[in-house]
Amino acid sequence: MKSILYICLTLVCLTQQVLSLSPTYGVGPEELEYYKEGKYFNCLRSNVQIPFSQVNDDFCDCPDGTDEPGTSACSSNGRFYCQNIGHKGNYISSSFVNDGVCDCCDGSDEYQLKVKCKNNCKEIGEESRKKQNQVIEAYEIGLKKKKQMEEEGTRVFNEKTDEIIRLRKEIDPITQEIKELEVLIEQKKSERELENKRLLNEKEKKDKEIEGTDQQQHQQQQNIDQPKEGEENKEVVGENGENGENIVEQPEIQTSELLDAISKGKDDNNNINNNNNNNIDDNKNDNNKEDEIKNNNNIEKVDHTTVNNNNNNKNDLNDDDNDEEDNDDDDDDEEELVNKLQIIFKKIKSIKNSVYNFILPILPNRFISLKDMGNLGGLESELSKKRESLKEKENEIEKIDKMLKSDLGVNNVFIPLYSKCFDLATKEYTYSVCPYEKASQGHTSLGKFESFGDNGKMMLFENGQQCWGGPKRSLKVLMECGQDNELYDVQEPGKCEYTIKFKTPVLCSEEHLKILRLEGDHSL
Amino acid sequence: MRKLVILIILSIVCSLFIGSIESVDTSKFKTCKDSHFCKRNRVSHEVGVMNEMKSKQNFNIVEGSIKLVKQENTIYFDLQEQNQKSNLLTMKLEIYEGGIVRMRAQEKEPLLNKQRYQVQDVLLDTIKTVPIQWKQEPSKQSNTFSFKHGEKECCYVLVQLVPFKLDVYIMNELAITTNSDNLFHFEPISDKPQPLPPKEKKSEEENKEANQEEDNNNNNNDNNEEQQVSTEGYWEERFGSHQDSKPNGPMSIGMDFTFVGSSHVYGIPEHTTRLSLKSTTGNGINEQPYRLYNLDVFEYEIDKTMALYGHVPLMISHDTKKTVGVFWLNAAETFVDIEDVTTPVSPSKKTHWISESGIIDVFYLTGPTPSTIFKQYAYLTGTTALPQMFSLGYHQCKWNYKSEDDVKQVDNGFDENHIPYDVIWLDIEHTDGKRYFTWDNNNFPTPADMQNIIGAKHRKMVTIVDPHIKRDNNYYVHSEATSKGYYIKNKDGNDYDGWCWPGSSSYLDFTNPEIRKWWATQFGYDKYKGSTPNLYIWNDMNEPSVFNGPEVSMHKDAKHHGGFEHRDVHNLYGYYYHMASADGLVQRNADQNDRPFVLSRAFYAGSQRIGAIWTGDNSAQWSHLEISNPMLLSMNLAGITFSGADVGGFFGNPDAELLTRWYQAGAFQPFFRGHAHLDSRRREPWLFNEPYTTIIREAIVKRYSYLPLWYTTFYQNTLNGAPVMRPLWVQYPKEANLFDVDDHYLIGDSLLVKPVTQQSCKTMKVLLPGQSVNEIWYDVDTEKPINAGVIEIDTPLEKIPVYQRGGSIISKKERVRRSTYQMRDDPYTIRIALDSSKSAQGQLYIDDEHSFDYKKGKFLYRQFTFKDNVLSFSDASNKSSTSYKPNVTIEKIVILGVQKPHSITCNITGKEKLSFEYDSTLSKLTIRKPDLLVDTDFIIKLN
Repeated sequence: MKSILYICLTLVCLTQQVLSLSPTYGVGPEELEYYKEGKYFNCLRSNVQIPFSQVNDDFCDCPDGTDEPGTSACSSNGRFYCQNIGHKGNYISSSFVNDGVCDCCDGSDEYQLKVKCKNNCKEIGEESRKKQNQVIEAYEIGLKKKKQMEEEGTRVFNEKTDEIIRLRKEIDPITQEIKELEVLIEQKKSERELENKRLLNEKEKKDKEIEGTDQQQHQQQQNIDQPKEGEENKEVVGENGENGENIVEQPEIQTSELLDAISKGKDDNNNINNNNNNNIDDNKNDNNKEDEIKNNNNIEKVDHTTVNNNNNNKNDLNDDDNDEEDNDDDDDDEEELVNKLQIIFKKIKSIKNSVYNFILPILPNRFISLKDMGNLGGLESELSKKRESLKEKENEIEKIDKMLKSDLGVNNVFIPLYSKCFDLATKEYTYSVCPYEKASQGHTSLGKFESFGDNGKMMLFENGQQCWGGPKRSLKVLMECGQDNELYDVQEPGKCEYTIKFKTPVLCSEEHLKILRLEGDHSL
Repeated sequence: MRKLVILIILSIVCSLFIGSIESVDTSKFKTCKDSHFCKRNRVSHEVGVMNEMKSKQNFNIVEGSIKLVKQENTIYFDLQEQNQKSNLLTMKLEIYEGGIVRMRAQEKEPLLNKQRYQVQDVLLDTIKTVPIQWKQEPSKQSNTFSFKHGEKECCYVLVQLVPFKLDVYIMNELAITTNSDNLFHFEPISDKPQPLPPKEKKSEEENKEANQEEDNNNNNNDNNEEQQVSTEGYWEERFGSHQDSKPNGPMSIGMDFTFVGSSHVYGIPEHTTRLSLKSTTGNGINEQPYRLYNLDVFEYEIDKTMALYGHVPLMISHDTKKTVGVFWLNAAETFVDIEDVTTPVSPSKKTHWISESGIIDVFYLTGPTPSTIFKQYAYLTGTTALPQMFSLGYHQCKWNYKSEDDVKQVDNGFDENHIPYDVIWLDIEHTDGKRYFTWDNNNFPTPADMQNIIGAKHRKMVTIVDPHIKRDNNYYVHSEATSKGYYIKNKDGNDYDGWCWPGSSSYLDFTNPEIRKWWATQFGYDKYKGSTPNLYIWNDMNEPSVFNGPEVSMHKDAKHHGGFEHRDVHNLYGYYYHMASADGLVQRNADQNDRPFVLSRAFYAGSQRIGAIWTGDNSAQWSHLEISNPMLLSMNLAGITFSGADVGGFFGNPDAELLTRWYQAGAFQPFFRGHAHLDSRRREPWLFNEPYTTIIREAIVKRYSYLPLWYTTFYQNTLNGAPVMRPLWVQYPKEANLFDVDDHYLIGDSLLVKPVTQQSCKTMKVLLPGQSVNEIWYDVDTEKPINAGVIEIDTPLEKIPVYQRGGSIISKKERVRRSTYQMRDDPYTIRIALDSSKSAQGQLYIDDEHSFDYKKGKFLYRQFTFKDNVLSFSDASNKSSTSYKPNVTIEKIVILGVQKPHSITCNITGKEKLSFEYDSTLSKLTIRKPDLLVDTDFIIKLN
C-alpha cells in the first residue's frame, strides 16, 4: 500500500506510453542536493551539462549515467536507489529497473508494473535486523574470544620468551658438565689402558709358557674353508658364552677383540689384530652370524625408542671407528658386521640401566655381565644423561624459537591455534587443517603450511600429494570472523586445488563490528 | 637407490602420460591408409603407388538405354563397366527447382538379400523436380547428349556416353565435370565367395588376367583363389584390436568432380583446417584426404584433415566468375581428396569423393552466385530453425556445476557483477549415475525449485542427455528400451553393449522413426521428473561415442532398423538423435508452441533444421581460439549457422588474456557459450579480477546490444539460407584477395569482425573489403569512417575490432539487462552508417522471441531506407501480421556520415519536430527520443 502511494507521489503520468518521473526518483539521500530543480543539470561524475528537463526522461544523456537515476536508460553505469523503508536503502544497477524482476524490497524498481512486487521491506527488515543482531552478537562473542586469544597468545608468548631465555641459561652449565665428564672418562680410559697393557704384558709372559699358540692359529685358518666346522664354532662360542664374563668385564675392549675371543673359545685376548678378518669369515653362513644379526636388529628396534640416548653415542662411535673403517674397505660385509657389532657393544656400554635391562634378555648371556659395568660405566651413563638433557633443551629452544619467529598475528592472536588441528567431516573425507603445519584430506596430504595471504585472511598449504595428471595438491584456508574455530564449505575450484572456509575469532575486528552496527542502525 | 630408480621410471611414465593427453592420439583414428575401401579407390591416383589392386574402371553408357521419362522429369540410362557383361548400373538424372542437377546411380538388379542405403530424412519433402528437355538428343555419332531445364535457362548438362562423363555448364561455360579423371568406382554388392578347394597354380598370364577382373567382379567366383591376396579387407577388416566382420563385403563408391576455373573450394565441415580447403594430393603434397566420419576425437589438433564430431558433405567452389557446389548425399564413411589441376581449364580444383557404402547420390548446385548457392542448398536441406532469443544470449557451462547451491551462486554472481547471461548448464554429473533424465539426489534434491529460481529471473537451464543408456535393469529407460527391443544390435543380433560414461551402455536405434517417437516422449514433464518448461537440452556423445569401440565409436557391423549396417548410417546417427530430442521438447508442452533448444555435438546435412551445434572439446590454447573462426565459417557455409566454439577452451586453463580474447570472439560468433572441463579451474567471467572482469563484461554486453541484428540475421537465414557468420568473399565475390580470408567475417551483411586471436597482440592489420565499390566502414567504437583497404589498428585488451558497413542500418538494444527476456520491451537504437552515395538500408525482425507464432504471421519484418536525407521505415515483408504490435519504440537514431540538418521533421502526429544533436567531428547525427513505435510506418526528413 505504501509503495503504491509512493509511486503515485513520485510518478506523473503524461501519456499512455511514456511515464514521466520526478527528477529525484531513484536518487540516494546523499545525492539529493544535486537534483534540485533548475535550468540545467550537471552530470555528477562527468563534465557535461544538460537541460534539467532531461533528468529522468528515460534517455541517457550523461556519460556517467547520473541523469537517469530512476530509469533504465543509463543501464550500463547508472544506479537506482531503493528506499526500502522498514528495511535499509540500497543501490541497484539501473539495468534492474523495470526488468520484471523485483530487486528492491519496496518494489520501487518495478514501477512500470511488468511484475507485481510486494513491499515486504518490513518483514525483510525485521528478519534482517534479527539476523544482523545475531551476526553482531556472534561478532561480539567472536571479538571477546579474540581478546581471550590475544591474552592467551600474549601470555604464552611471554612465557615462551621467558622459557627460551631460561633454557638458554641452563644450557651453559650442562655443556660445562659434559665437558668435565668427558675429561674424566678420558682419564679413566687411559687408566684402564695402562692397566690393560699391564695385563697384556703379564699374559705375554704367561703365553711364553704356554705351547702351541701358533698351531691353534693355523687350525683357525683352515676353518675358513670348511663350513662343517662352523658347528664346532657354534659350540665353541656357546662355551665361550658361558665363560663370557671377561668380555664385558672390560667394556672398552674393541669388538673385534671380543669376536676373536669368542671364536677362539678361549680367554686368550692377545692376537687380536692379526685375526680380525679371518674370524669374521669363519662366521659367514653360520648360525652364529644369524644370531648376531638378530641381536643387532633387536637392538636397533630398541634404538628407535631411545633415539635421544643414542644420538650422542653414535657420534662418539663414529669417532672411535674411523681408524678401523679405513682399514676394512676391502671387505664390506665383514666391515658391516664388525661395525654393527661394535655399535651394539658401544651402545650397550652407554645405554641406561633400564634400557640395558630391556636388551638383556635378548642378548646371549655370554656377552654381558652387569656387575662389571664398574665405575667408568657409571660415568658414561651420567654423560649420556647430560647429553640427552642438553639435546632436549636444544630441541625445546628450537621449537619455541620457530614458533616465536612465526607470523603470529597482531597481539599473537594466532598462538592459541598453534599446533592445534581442526577437522571437517564431509560425506567423502575428513579434512584436517593444522595451522602452521599441514593439512590433509583423509590420509592424503593437501600440503604443508606455506604462508598467510590476502592480508592475513588466508592460510596457504602447498606441496601436498601429487595429483594424477595434475599439480601437487594445495589448500587455501579462507578465514572469516566467527565465534568458534570451525571449518566449513570445502571446495575444489581447480583440479586438486582446494579451498576451505575457516571461521575463527581471530578474524573478527572492532572496525568491522562498527560497520555492522552502523548498517544495523541504517536499516531502521 | 632402488627408490630413486622407481621414481625416475614413474616420472618418465608420468611425462609420457601427460604428453599423450596434450594432443590427439592419432593412432586411434583411421586415415585413408587404414581403410581398405579408401585405398582401393584412391590408389588409382596416388603418385608413386603401385596399382596393385585394380586399374581404373571405365564405365560406359549402354547403348540404347537412355530414355527421358517426361512424367517423372527424369532421364534414365544404364551404365556398364567396359568389357563386363554383368553388373549393370542404373542412373537417374533430374533437375530440381532453383537450378539443382541430381545424379543417382546404383545396381540395376541388386541382390535380394543385400541392399544399398539411400540417405533418408535429410532432404526436405518439398523438393520438386522440374520438367527437362533435350538440348541435344543422344546419338552414337556425337557420343553425347545434353539436357536442360524446360523453362529457365540456368544451365545445362552434357553427358558423354563412352566413357561416361557428365559436365555441368553454367552460363554456357563448363563449370563442373564428372568422372573426367575416370575415378568413377562402384563395387557391386555381391555374396561372399565360398572358399574353394585349392587348385593347381595357374600360369602367370592367367593370373594377370584374373587380377584385372577380380575387383569389379567379385561374384565371379572362379577367380576366388587369386583373390586371396588382393581381396584383403573385402570381407573382413581389422583396426587395432577391433574386427569388422563386413558381411556385405566391398560396396564402396567413388567419383571425381572438377570445379573448372576454380582455385578455392570450401565446406565439408568439420575439420580444423583453414576455410579454403587445402589440397590433399598432387605434386609434392603428402596429405591424407579430408575424412567425413563422425567421431569423438579427444584433444583434437589444428590443421588436420582428420574427421571430427560432425560432417556435411557439401563442397562449394568459388571464383570471380561463379559459385557452384556439389552435395554428396551419403552417410557412410567418406573421404575427399582435393587437387589443384590445370585441365581442362587452368586453374581448376579436382576433387575425388569416396564412400564406403550407399548409393551414388549427387546434387550439383549451379549457383552461380554465393547467395543462390545458399538458397539452393537450403532448398534441399532446409534453413536454420529460428532460435529462441534466449539461446542467442550468453550460456554459462561447466563440467560440472556441482549442486543447487553452486548453481545459485553462479547465477547470483552474474547479477552481482552486472554481467548478462541467459542459460546455466549442467553436465553429466547432475544425474544419478549417468542415468539421463534423473538427478543426483544429494546435490540436486529439488531440481524443479532450482529451475524456478533461475526462471524467476527469466533465465533458463540446460541439462545434458546423451544417447548411451546405462545397462541397469532398475533404470526405467533401459528396461523399457530392452523390452521393446529398441537398441541397436551387434553383428550377432544381441543388444549392442559398449562402454561410455555410465559404464556398460546400449544405444537406441534412432534411425527407426518409432524409436525416435518413443524417445521424444521421454522429455514429457511426467517422464522427465524434475524438469520444467525452463529446462532445455544438450545432446553430447552422439557420434556415437563408444569408449571401447573402434575409433571410440560404434562397430560398423552393428545392425540398425531396416537391416542396414551401422556403416551405412553412421553419419546420420547424431542427426537423428538430435532430431528426436528436439521433437521431445516441442511435444512436452500441450500447446506445442515453444521452440526447442537442443545443442548437439554430432551433426549432418540438415542439422540446421534441428538446433545448435558446437565444435566439441577444444583446448584453452590460442591456436584453438584462432581456428574457431574458420571452423565456424565452414559450418556456416554448409548451412550449420547456429554454431559456436566453447569460450575459454574446454580442456586446460586459459590465462586471463586468452579468456578475455575468447569472450570477445565468442560474443561475435553465433552460439556463445563458456564451458570448461571437470579438471579445469573455475573461470566464471568475474574470477580474473580487473581489468578482465570489466572487459569481459563489455564483450558480453556488446553481444546483447547486437541481439536484434543476430535475431534479424537468423530470420533472414530462414528466407534465404545465407550464412549468419559469413566469409568476406560471400559479400564481395569479385574480390579475389578475400578468397583466403578466414580470420575476418561478417555478421549478416553489415558488421565486419576480426577478433583478436593472437597473444599479446598490440597492433593488427584489418582488411576492410569493398575497394571496388568504394565501401566505407565505421569503427563501431570510435564511429570514425574508414575507406576500404588494409588498415593497421591498435588492439589494447579491451579492443574488439568491429566495423559497420557504410550503407547498412543496424538495429540495436543498448540497454544492458540481466538476460534477453528483460530486453524484450526495451527501446531500439538505430545505427545508420551512410555509404559514399549517402544512403543506407537495413531490416529489423521482431516477434515474441520464443514461440512458433511467427509462422502464423505474428511478426514484424521492417525495412529501413535512408536516401536523399530521408529515412523511411516500412514493412519489408507482405507476410507480416498487421495485428502484431509489440509496443516497442525507437529511442535513438544515430546517423553516421551525414551533414548537419537545420531541423528534423517526422510525418507522425505529435512528432512533427524531432530534437537532435550533431557531432561535426564525426559527422554524427543523433536523433534524440523519437519514441516511434516499431510497428508504425514513418518518414523522417533531415532539412
